[in-house]
Amino acid sequence: MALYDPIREELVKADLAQGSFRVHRDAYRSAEVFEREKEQIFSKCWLYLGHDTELKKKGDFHARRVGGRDLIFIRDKKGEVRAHYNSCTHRAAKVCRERTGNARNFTCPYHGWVFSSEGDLVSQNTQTGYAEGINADGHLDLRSVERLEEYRGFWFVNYNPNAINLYDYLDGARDQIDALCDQTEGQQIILSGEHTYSIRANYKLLCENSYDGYHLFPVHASYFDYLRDQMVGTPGEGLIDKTLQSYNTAGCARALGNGHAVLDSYVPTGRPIAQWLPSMGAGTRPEIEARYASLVRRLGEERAKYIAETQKNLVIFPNLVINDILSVTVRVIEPESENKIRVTAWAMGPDDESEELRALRLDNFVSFLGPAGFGSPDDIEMLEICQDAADHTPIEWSEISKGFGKVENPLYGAGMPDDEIQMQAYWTMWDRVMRGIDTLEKK
Amino acid sequence: MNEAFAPALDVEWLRRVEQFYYREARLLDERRYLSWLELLSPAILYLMPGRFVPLARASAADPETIHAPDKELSGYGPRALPLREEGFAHLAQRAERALKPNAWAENPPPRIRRFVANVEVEPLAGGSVRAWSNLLLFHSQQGRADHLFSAQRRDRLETYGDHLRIVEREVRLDGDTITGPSVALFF
Ligand code: FES
Ligand SMILES: [Fe+2]
Repeated sequence: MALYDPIREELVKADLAQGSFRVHRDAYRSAEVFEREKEQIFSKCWLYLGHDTELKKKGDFHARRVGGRDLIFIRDKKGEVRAHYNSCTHRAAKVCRERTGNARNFTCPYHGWVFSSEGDLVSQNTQTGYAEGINADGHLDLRSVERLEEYRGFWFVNYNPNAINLYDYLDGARDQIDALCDQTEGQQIILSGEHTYSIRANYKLLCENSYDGYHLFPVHASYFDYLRDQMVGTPGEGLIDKTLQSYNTAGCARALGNGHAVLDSYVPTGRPIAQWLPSMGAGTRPEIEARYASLVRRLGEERAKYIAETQKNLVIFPNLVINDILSVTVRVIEPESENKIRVTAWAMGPDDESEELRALRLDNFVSFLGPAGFGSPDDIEMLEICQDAADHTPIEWSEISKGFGKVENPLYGAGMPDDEIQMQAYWTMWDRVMRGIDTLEKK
Repeated sequence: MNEAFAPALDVEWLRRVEQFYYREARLLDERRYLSWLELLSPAILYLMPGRFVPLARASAADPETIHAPDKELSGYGPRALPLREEGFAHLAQRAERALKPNAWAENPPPRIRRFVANVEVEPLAGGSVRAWSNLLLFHSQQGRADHLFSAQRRDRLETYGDHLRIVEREVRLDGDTITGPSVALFF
């Protein structure tokens, strides 16, 4: 709820002369703002639905809530990927009550209407009472989402039929997805299972946190101690402190257009894709070096180095996070209200890696990125105290100015890893979409 | 053997295991995490599966298995994504971390009370036992809503000198959605 301010026209204020970029805290705490976000942000932007490799066989499905709407993400019996609204066209019941599975068709539990995997109504479970041809126009078939498109296996939906293409929407984020997919000569796949957890915070707080280089040392000191301990007695010892000292100068934060941005940094956690560290065990070394050689061969030295060595924290506006760090996580943040989110996270990895590397990747995922990991609890604590304090104090503005003012257009800015230019890009886009300046529609 | 009936009770084993659990719970409730480590075998496997809602599949041969909880578990190993799959070193790091002032989720520390109930014991060969127990964990942190976590624990305990220690623990949480910091606790 807006505490002391009625809903404001201006929630984002950029003052170049003063070097100040501010976001009104009603953007995190007001129910009215959240209502408007549902109409503007979540009805106009491309929202992540799922990955192609989660639907291996015909009939495989996942029931998901995306931007407040319940969908069935399914590969139909002809092999085509679809997204249906998960509601019976008769009298509304949920036709799919499982979270995942394989189905040829869906039978509504209420009166027994049957829908095929393509969404067609195939039975009304009765002989009498309905006019012949009542569904000739297909209005009783399961409703499909307005738009469904993919980029390199990542499927997104858009609830605005006139929205620009996903390809254009992703803009510079496409190059980051390429960098991820090109890691392997095979295919990046979602590894089995997912983590779901809830946090008492606004969804934008977690977006900000996901590529915030500034918070790394204050919040994760206990994790760096843990990494250092692991490397004691190996050549990796000392590496931690050395890289941490050069953290500010070695990487960068880059805005990629349309509110997307990435943080490129160097933290020596080891990367199962193509950067070996002693802490990963001698056994994995030949495979990782071979992978690096393949990158160089396919993409050239410079790109190979970027793909292998840079830790990448990507946020695709408005609520998809892809962390390509010591393990790859695809994480979608579903807002339930202005101060509550449900996070679903998947691990991703190449389909052609050894058991050993896969085990390491998943272990990294569970031990750092997962809800029980060494990183997450402290991050979550920070988000919840931000939300709590914003909710219970009258302070109007959050100051997100670090690195501000270097470029004309914040949507394409760049800065130091611990700058806040990635958030400036996010909020600039958010403000433009909220105010209808950018409709994200085809001209 | 019909699994619906408990075997004849080995009271002495039951008492030992119960006392072991009560002491363990008290150590943890009092935040004596380093002392707790002494109750673990160096070879301990500490597991927490992810849980999901599978499509129900009826079996004519065994109709009772249609909703068997085992089908809801993520599994472990290189092909699975459990919530936790940890060995001694990992738990030791957790214990040390929980006592650091800059581990923000633990400082100020939550007040936690563990209630252990429904203990069942099945003695195995070589002085070890399998034990089932239910755990109710009350979690309270300043300025936060209180939480209750309900879980089943499936343990294997072994005799070591005069004592028992934990060789394997699987914690099956019952909550549908987990709240962030909680699954990192000691259950
Ligand atoms: S609501 Fe689905 S068949 Fe009636
Ligand atoms: Fe963090």
